[in-house]
Amino acid sequence: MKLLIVEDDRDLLKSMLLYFNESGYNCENAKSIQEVNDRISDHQYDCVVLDLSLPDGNSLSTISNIKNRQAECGIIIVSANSNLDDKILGLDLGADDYLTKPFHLSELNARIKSIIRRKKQAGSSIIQFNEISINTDAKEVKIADQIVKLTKKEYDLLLYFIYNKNKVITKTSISEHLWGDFMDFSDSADSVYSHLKNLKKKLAQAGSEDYIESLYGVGYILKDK
Amino acid sequence: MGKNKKNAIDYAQNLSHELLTPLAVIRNNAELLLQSPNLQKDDLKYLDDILKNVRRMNNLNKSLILLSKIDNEVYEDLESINFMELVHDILDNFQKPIASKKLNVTVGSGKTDRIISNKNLMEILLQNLIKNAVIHNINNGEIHIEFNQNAIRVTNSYDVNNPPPKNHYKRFTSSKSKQGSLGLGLSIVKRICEYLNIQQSHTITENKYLAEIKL
Repeated sequence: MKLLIVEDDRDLLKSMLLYFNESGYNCENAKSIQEVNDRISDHQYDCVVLDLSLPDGNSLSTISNIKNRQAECGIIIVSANSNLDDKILGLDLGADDYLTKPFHLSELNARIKSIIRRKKQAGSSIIQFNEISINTDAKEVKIADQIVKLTKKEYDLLLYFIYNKNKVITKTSISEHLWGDFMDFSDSADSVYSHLKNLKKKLAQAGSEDYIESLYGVGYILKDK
Repeated sequence: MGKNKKNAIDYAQNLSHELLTPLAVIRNNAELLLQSPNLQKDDLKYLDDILKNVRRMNNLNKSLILLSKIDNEVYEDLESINFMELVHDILDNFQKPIASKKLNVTVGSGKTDRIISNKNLMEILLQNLIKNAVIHNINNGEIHIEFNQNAIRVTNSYDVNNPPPKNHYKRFTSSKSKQGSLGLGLSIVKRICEYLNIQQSHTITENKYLAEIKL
């Protein structure tokens, strides 16, 4: 999977490259609109992570350029501006998703994977993780052909773990993934814990192995044993 | 809009942008460090504190931007809003904390359930009132939301051992026991009321807290 990460802040770019290279993507980067245009004329990408404000201008203008050259390529905008107009405009121009800074790397990763899946695997909507099979169209989870009845939150939680398998994901990122950053409650961590407990119980009852480990309550990891 | 006001908004928005990138760098690096296989329990605790405070700063930043936007009057459209629908939408967001504190929430209205106002502002105002009523509540406590042509009232039970501070609707006054609470919620409420030119009051009785918005 080939990613183009567009970000002009060097430290931020460095952290993203490190994380996504470790996650198994093949990453290239660009720090200006000019560099984006150069890159996409020479290389094919599965997804572009696009910072909106670059030294040589607002990169909304490059979206149609990327789309024209590489129709299959996903685009996710990452912006410091939570301005709704920018978001609507970006999506209208053909971007697939929009995330505001400061994002969680695990959230960005889940969104990239979901976009690439939608683009590439037209027709197949099944994600398989060992004995767990998820149908993303029907939002249905099966273990050994048996349907596991999950609530919407439990389903979202499981998918988030599987998209981020073998990575530690923080409690905060899970809480924001499930409820948005509006939930700035101290007890949102308890909510994460109780949803997770129910999810683990249901998976175990359906005969699945226990893949999710806790790291002293700071975060969790789904390990492919 | 005057030039100074325009400048103030630009300034606040620039500042917000400038803060978000370093916040993203801190959060990403903490997340990267968290992937190290040999972390001890204490290391994880430090990382958890860093991550918690990034989130806190992010929320603080957002609230300040919001206050600055309201201070600079950029909300102009008025519309007819279905009040009950809005309240139920907001309560939906708080489902989990309401359930975990086992709060008894009741909502009542007079003849009308529509209100003419700016929808964004009304939503922020109600969100903050309801959020406060949830956060500062006790286990098995109560929230009552009432709406009629003259007023919006949100009543909640509070911890009598830790009553709200006297100047609690000033900016950055937050109760000591609630670490992580920003103390901006009620000053946002106050500012929105001033902006919409409506009266607000807070009454603390023996065991109930009442926030009232006169329409």
